[in-house]
Amino acid sequence: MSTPTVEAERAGDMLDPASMRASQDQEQLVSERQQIDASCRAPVTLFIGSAVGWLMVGTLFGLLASIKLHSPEFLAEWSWLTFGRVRPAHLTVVIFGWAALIGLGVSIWTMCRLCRTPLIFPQMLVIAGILWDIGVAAGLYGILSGQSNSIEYLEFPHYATFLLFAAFALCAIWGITTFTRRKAGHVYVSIWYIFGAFFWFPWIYSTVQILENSPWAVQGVPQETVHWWFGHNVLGVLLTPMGLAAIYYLLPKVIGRPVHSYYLSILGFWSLALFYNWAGGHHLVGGPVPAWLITLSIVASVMMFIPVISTAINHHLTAYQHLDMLRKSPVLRFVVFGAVSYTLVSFQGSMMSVRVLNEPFHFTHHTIAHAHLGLYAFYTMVMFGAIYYILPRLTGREFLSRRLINVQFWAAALGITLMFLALTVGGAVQGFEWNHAAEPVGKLIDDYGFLEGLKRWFAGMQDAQENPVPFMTVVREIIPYMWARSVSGTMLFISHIALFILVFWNIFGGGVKRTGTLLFPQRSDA
Amino acid sequence: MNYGPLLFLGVFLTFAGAWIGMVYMPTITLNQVQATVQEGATVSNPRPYNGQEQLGRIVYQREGCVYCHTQQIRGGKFNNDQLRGWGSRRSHPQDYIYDYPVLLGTMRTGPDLINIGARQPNQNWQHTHLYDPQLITPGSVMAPFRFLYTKKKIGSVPSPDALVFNYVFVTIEQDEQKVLEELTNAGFVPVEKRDGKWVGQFDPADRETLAQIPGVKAVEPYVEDGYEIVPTEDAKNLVAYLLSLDRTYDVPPAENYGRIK
Repeated sequence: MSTPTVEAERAGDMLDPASMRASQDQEQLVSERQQIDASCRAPVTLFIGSAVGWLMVGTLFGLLASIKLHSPEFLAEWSWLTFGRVRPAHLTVVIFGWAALIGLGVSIWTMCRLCRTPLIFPQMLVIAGILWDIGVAAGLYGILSGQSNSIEYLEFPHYATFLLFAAFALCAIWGITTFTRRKAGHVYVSIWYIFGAFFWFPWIYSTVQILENSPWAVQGVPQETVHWWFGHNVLGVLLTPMGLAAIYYLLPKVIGRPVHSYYLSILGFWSLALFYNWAGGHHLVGGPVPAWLITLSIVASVMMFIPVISTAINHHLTAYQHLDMLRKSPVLRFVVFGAVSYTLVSFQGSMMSVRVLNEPFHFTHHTIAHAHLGLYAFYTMVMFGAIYYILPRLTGREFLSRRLINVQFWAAALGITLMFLALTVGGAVQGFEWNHAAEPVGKLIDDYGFLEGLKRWFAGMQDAQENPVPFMTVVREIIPYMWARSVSGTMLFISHIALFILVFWNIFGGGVKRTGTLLFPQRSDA
Repeated sequence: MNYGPLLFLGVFLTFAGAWIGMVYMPTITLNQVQATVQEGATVSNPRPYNGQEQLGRIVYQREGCVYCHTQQIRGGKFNNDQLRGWGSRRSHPQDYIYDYPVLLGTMRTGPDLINIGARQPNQNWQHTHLYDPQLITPGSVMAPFRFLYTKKKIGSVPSPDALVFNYVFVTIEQDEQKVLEELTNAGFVPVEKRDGKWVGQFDPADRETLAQIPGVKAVEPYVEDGYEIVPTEDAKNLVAYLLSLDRTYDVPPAENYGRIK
């Protein structure tokens, strides 16, 4: 509570990438940005506030699902809270309630800033936000009350998906209209990504609904190829572009330096657009689908190294030599954590798609670890950073406490690291013992000590074992990793409580009036 | 890249390419897969689901079984699925032609279920396992589905479809290891310890013989006397669906498919 000002980013505002070549004087630019932020207030605050609310709901369901994986009797009497309903509730609420909604909110604000136009049609966006909230709530009710169809990412009943589609379509129409009304001559890289997301997502969402989840569904396994084309693209063409757009905007903004290379960002964008769409088939490696399709997907997944490496180099060279600001700026801390995780998760994803590695890790918790590295360590952390940057500019108030922000960061960072490690190792134990190991690793470690046991475990691996390790032995062996996940989930929950307090305290009038940034407190800068 | 239409065209074309490859092509190539009929057989492989199995499939979907159980046997290098006895051949597109939606699954918290009807054809086994998974597999992390069953007082006649539980709870007073050994000699098959009592397989009608073993304090039937556990319609449908999961027939070689005719 002691320090009111927590926004530590430098007044990099003057280096707004969209306005760098503009010749207007500083005063005018600042007042223009203040105008834009003021016009964004109602809709974007609605998006951010509801997203943070859904994050709390989604986290609770995730924690519940995690506990049920080591203690199946926990809350087992109620059909509404059985594992098979709580898990899709967690997944859909965090994907649609949190990730997509916060992505839309941040993208809308970024669009206005970069197109240098005040927000148009605010009522339309408010209606879209409300429709989206109703859609997620209705979908959650549908899953818990037993109307789920068990298609991953598409569990929401139709009455909810129509609402979501309508809300997204409103946002997309808004985005494209704003794009055509832009004042800035230069179209910054963030806009390409947001434009892509606005265009691609309605396409994949409507295609998959018709071809898999309707009376016109296709026959047999092509449903699954359509499904994973969609499932992978929720990350690939909706969340990743929105996350990258936010990094591309915030990173230069906070450190006050333009993006390192325009051409690397072009390469990164177009190679992502070219390869990511093909990558979904790697979810079906070994499955009853044509081999050419899977091979094609694996090739595309490995080709993802190109956009990832070019984006990573671009981000790294932009932030390089300015990382001392990590100590001061919470925004930068979150965004850099997310940017580094993007590189990691993409490298891991490309590797995991290759058949040799996919064989042990398919169907294990290793995949869950990978999903959380992508959706949490990359996407969610970047969005946290974006909230810390945007919300004070919308409400004109600073956050409640610097200490609480630190709690939020460290609980999230340590929590997701623990979760990733626990599930990665647990998943590896699972996968190797199902497919390759001769004996359970726990037994070998008990008999020979840690290092020698591990050595013997790896030495005993073969392509296939005549007598595989019994399934139940593996189930028992990974229970400790499941407990570790529940601990990490609790840490994330604590982090989200801190965020919830900070955000809603700010929205509902708490905190100190914003007079400037920490480094330039005298400037009434937007 | 300051030109809007160029951006639009690029975004459209890259995506349309993937759409044709990932969505359109597999759909038209696999459309020709059909159910086959073996010589002299009256039903096709696979056979279409009957009404009760369809309803059971809806229960399978709504309770989210797919989040822990796959329905696919992998082939080639992924040979361990078959070595575990989950199936004797790789899954084939033909196995899924009556499935709306196809539930291949992505996670194996539990074993594969594509042939569960062939592996465990006993109805009572399936019901017992759904009601109390740990009774059959101690240490299992499967959620119990007790809410699909009703426990009620036995009326003038017992319900014909009430579950049969050949299990008892034994409370041991002292010398646990020794008494457990004697119990085992008497035919008791211990499963696990719950709240200080050993639960195990034994005919509850003969439980007096266990109660006479010294050191045994009490022997209780799994279901209290005078009560019975009856599956709801949902549970019956679900078990009917699980028993229909039997894709052990032979399929034509995969080379016959995948070309556009």
